[in-house]
Amino acid sequence: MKNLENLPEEIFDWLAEKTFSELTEAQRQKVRAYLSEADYENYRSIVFDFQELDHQVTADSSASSPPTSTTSFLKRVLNYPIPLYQVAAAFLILAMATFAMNDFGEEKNLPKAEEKSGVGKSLAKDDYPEELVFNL
Amino acid sequence: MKIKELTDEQLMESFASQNDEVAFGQLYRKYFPMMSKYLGWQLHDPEKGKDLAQNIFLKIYQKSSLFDTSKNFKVWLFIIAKNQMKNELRNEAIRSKHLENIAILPTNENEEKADHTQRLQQLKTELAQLSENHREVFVLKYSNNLTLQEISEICNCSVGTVKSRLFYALQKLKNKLR
Repeated sequence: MKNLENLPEEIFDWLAEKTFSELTEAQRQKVRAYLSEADYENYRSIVFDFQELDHQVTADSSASSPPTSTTSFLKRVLNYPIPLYQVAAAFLILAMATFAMNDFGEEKNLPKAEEKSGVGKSLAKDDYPEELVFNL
Repeated sequence: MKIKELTDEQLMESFASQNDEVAFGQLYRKYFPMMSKYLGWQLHDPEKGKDLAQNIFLKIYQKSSLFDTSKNFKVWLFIIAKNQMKNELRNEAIRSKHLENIAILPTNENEEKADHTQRLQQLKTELAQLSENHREVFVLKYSNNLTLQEISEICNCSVGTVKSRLFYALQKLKNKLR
């Protein structure tokens, strides 16, 4: 057998396209210089079967959506690495804020001042001071 | 010029320089299935292949400036995929479990179909048993339809070496599937 590295590239192409009988006479002669007809048919059968297997995978490999600026941005945000100490600090601040809010939120009972001033209250006629009443 | 008339390199340049997401989408739709299959075969798991392909495109989306427009986009993409795949394969759990991930194809009703199904199953198993280098050139050639020149650039070897590996893979599969 001739040196494999000199094998014409087209023979590898023909294995994927044609049986030996489908080759032209010139092509058959070229093949015979390197392979027997039986070997060609065996290799052709393997390539043909592989293409059938490959086609089954193709049916399942339909493209997903291409990356876009949105998916790229979201992925970067979701995958952004946050140091552990920052997470701990955030929790601590949140806890302190929660306690502080609870503290200010409690209702405080302030004592009511006694009402001493009589301003604004109406008096009954009998209670008017006599010196201030003029009968016109 | 219509977007469908642009080359892959022009599309990528349009995305890198003008943030043209339509151009990127065009590249994604063209190469995502190809990437998924290549990675799926190499990782012995179609779902892992899809996940890794999606991650690769996300990285390209975020770092589009890394692409050298003077280079072949397809080859560049496969080289990135190959490097990412190697990172995945460093996980020993994948190497040890690859045989478990090979799905059992459903058996069919009549005997002839059952034989054929069994042969396909056996092919899948034997393909997984090939070395990474041999399986890679086989998949790149017969799943992704790359030229030998493109495969040689991705695998960082000569075209002659690609031919040898491809022929060896065919021979080994032939011997195992008798």
